[in-house]
Amino acid sequence: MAFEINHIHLKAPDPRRTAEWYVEAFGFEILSDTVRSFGDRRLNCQTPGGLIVNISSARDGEAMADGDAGSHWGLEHFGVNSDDLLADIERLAALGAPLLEGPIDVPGGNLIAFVQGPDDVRIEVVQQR
Amino acid sequence: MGHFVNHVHLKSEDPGKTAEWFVAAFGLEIRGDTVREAGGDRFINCFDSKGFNINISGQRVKLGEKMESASAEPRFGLEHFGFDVDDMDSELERLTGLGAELKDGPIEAGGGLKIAFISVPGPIRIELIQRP
Repeated sequence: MAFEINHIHLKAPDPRRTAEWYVEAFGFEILSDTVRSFGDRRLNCQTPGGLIVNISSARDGEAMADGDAGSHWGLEHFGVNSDDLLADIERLAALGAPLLEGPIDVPGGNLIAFVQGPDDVRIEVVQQR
Repeated sequence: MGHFVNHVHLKSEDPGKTAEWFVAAFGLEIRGDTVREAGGDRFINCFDSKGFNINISGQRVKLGEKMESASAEPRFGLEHFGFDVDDMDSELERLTGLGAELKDGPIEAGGGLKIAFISVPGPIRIELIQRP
């Protein structure tokens, strides 16, 4: 079969607060907010481009490690488009997401930066050119 | 344009091998494979069947990037991403045959929805979702 990404998933001690941050920061829409049979609160969110981003707390009995907003192997970050990177870096910092790296003018490519979102999520902000 | 999510990014000590694994496992299409000038990292552009971009790259050695270890275990922050599957049991058998490890499930999530979590080379935590 042809495989398609169904969603990306963020875990948060306070998933409502994290979801509301993404609503304000990147215009996510909260589609639902429920407590599942696994004991976790899960907010089903949709990005302006239509991708589903689920944000939930720990499931019953689930031991959680910390997030990691630094460079690391494996699933490291996701990227969000920006019309004006410099303005968005300032706006996101005011919302509590400090700049980690950049802005970087990629030769022949985009203007990018990395910021630290809630729960130690590494987010790339990308101004396409 | 708006703030749409434009990619998910995986970092690998051997991005070529990781990309080939995702091609075999999830049919990703490789559209670019370059060494980037600024970072000196190998950078592979992959896409799922609907055109969503998954980048797979190595360490940005020219920028002195220090890499922490990966985790396929439950954690706060960016934990996993999910793929739709048509048949959970056969996909679990196929993917474990390719080197994935079942971490959790299959779980009946209600309403006929079936999910499972696997660890794939990285390690990376991936959810499989079989819709009713």
